[in-house]
Amino acid sequence: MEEGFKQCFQTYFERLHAYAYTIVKDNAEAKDIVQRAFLKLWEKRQEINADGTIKAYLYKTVYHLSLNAVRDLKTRQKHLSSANPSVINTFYDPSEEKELSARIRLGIENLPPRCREVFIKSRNEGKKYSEIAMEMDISVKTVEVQMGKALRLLRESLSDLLVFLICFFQILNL
Amino acid sequence: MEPEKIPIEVAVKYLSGEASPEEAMQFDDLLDDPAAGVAFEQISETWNLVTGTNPCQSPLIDEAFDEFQRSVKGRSSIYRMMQKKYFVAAAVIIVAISVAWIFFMNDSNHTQQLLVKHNSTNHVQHDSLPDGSLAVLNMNSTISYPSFFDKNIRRVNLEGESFFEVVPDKQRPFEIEFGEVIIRVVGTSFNVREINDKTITEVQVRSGIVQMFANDKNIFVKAGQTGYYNSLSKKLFATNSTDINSFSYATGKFIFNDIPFTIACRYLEKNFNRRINVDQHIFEDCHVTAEFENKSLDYILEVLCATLNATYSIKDNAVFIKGKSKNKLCGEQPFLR
Repeated sequence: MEEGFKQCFQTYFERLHAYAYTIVKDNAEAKDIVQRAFLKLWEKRQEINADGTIKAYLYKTVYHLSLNAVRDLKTRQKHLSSANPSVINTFYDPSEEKELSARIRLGIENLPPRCREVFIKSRNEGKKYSEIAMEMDISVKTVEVQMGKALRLLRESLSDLLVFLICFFQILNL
Repeated sequence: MEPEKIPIEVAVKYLSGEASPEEAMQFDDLLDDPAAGVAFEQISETWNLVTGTNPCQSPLIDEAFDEFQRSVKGRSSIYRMMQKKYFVAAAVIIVAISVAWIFFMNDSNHTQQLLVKHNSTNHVQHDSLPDGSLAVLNMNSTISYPSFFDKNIRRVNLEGESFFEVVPDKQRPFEIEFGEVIIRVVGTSFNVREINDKTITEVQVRSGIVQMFANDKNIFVKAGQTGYYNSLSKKLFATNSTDINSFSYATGKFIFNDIPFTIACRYLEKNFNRRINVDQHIFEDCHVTAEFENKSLDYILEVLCATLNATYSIKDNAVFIKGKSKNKLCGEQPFLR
């Protein structure tokens, strides 16, 4: 296999995986998508040469494959959730899970009203930014800003729960 | 700590899966700065906590690369194999054409069958015809056609079952000889088979229009209709429906619209060529509604079983579906078709 291709794989694999994951929310699926994107690139490697084009091609392919995967998954989940709604939460210890989710719920309830509405529409109702913008008659940019604000406020109110990062920063500071 | 190394709304947009490919590229360029990387880690952790998302775990690059190389090799060896196969096929075709040519020169009757393809494998075969039309040949079926079509007509002969997608050509109708019936089309897609112990020829039309000829009579069958020929009564007739699931072997599509689960299993059985054993007593009132496109049998079974609170297992190439008991999910809707 050509050295240049290997280098390209190593440079972009992780980022593309992270990107696919933001859309499909599943590690195995994301890995599969990125592999498929590279296979497509491999088949077209004669046509695409410039580095900038390769990168853009990979991101675009991953994006489209991810959207397709989500569409398939949605159909599937519709069946799964109607059959067995309890399956998702069995992993957690119920008492611990209750306390944690109560804290998060409280954090979300304490958000400013507009900000909360945007956040809930996005996360709980699974709506796209563009859909939220249309429903609330605001711009997509405003949705972006409100989502950012929501996370900043939640990070502040839940800071004591974010254990891993506290440790992480302590190590970094040493 | 400098949490604002990257704008939080940009990070959140990315994490929501809302970033376009261009935005994702720009975002990843930002992360080249280590401080921005740390800031992003922190935002991600908060995000995962409040949205209940599992953290993203990137696979090991070396392993991923090995896997990639394996699939590339797998592909190219299949490709080589196919090339070899094509070489043999090309040789066969050349011989067939030469033989045909000799016959053609010596014989004024040029309806000779020149290429005969019999599908004795246990999977469906896709066959391109000389005019570019597609025949999806089901198992145990045979199609024959000349290596190049006549000027005025494209004629093929079929035994068994096949789905056709015919390239439009008004000057040259496409004709299928199927037992006593001749099916003529201009450009359309449809499925041809025999049912009821081979007494009835069935043509289900998916798009376009089809003309069926038998015993000096003919009928037109339009998209969404099914044409029949009964070889006992020697009659042609059409109905206003098609059964899309009966030719899923060619389209890869299953559309179960509130049909009994046991019937759904029969469709799967036929199209995947697997025996499916269903507990008749438990599932007799069960109806299912679902759509699948190009999905594996495993995938479909998993979804259906989850819906019906059932489990399935595969032993010696046969599928066994078990249910716990008669459950509420199984309504008592009548079966309408």
